[in-house]
Amino acid sequence: MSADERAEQMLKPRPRQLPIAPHAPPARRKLPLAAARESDRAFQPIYAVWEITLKCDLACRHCGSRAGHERSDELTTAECLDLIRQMAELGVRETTLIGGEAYLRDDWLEIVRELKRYGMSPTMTTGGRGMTAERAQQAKAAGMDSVSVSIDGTEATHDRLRGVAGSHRAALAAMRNLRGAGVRVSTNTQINRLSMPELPQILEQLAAHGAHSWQIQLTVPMGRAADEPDVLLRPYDLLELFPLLAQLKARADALGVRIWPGNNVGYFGPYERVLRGMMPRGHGASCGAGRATLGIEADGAIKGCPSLPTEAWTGGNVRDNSLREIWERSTPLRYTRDRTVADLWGFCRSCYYAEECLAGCTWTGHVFFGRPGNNPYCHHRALEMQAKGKRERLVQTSMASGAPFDYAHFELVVEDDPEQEARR
Amino acid sequence: MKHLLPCPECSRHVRVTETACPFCALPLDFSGAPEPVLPRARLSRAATFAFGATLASASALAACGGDADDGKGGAGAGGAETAGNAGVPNAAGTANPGASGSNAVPVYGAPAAAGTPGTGSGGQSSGGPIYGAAP
Repeated sequence: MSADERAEQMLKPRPRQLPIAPHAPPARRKLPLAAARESDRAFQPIYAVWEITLKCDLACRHCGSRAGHERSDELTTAECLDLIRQMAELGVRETTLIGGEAYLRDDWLEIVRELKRYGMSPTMTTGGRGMTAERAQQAKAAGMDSVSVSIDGTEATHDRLRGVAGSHRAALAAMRNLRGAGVRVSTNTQINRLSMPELPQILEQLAAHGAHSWQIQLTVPMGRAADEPDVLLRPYDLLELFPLLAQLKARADALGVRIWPGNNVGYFGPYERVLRGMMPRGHGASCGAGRATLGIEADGAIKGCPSLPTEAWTGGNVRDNSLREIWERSTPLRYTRDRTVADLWGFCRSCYYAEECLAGCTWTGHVFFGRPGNNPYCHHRALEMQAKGKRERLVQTSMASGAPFDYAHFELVVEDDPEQEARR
Repeated sequence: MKHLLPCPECSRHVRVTETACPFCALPLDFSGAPEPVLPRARLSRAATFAFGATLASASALAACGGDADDGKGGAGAGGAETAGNAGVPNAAGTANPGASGSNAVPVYGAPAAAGTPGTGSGGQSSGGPIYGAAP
């Protein structure tokens, strides 16, 4: 992004045609479940990510759930506690509380305590705006194991992306407050065209604030992020991003910070072993939604991953069925257990890594094209295009509707790489 | 499915059945490469990471060493060749000084972790959900 383009983006107001924080529709209820299969019992969720409220004190311009107002039908405390029991029985080992902003729910500490009581590791992701010293101490006392604070750039970039002036300072204060209370802290960062150039500064800052890990993920066009496509990385930007990530991995190692790539940071390029060499296979596998991970919305909707669009990927609601019934018998949660290379399309269908990767992050493919199985955010793919003198570009063809977890539609354009053209 | 190992020249992962790297054409012989050792019990994400890190460390101790940092990536940890794999050129992914992505941390060939056979090990993914958190 040129300096002029960046300056324009930094000052660009929010798109005005959509409400910033729409009210979420009521949960879809009484969804059909399929007949039981023995094969589904082989899968148990190790990790759950639980949106305990959609209420939020930030207004992030990339927020996929367009959070702000709480849902009209969020689970009661008693329902949350019963869900925790079911999660433990299903085998969940670790649960990350998210929102909205999880601490805005009055009973968030009770939920943390109950997770701990059932032997699950409670963690949390927060924007940090209201993570006061008092809240941090309460979290520690309740048994919170670790809190990930979102940092998306230096102060100006972070505040622009998070939609609230002062949010960067608040996030750093949250890290200090958490550490002061004895809670382990980590950081998560959205990577897009505004934050990418600042990743080195972010790393230095989060290390200075005692983060044990840094989770990185690519911003994809769901929710408010779909309203500002010019901020998103272009597929060929990954050619620049991955060498940078490899450099940052070396620096992070030196600083004692563990880089934890989110599932949409991939796949199988020359830096795979740098970024995922610590995985048991020495490289990444495919999407774990519905196989090892579980997503829960505040109204009791169950998905395989918290990021997946609600409409298409909700398997059921814990007000209608047990968690185990939904986990084992809902078609959306079975998706990654059953799919094969035959379910892929576009570039991913004939990719060298198709069997292992299966188009990577289900969410990323879905929100670009309306269905999974073809993922344009792939370093290997960008390299293959580059080898042919080509590059891919995504063109938005329709806007998102403005509801939580909505997405726009994009078309893929394959074009000659102008840089290679110029060199010729 | 045949497992994947990084090409010692270009660092791209290739199937162990390849006789030449499909990306850089380097002749390959992975015939002696052991199968990857995977956790046999259901592990938390942190435990999975620790498992891999332990194996990587074990491999690194047995490695031929050398500073492979080309300034592009890696921690400068040098190459790593799996113990018991001698004679198979770079079968476990020895970092190449000329290759990008030099932090070679193969996790193959080390002793299996103790644990009982579990379920759901096929559910390990390449990372966390996007809105999760590092363990």
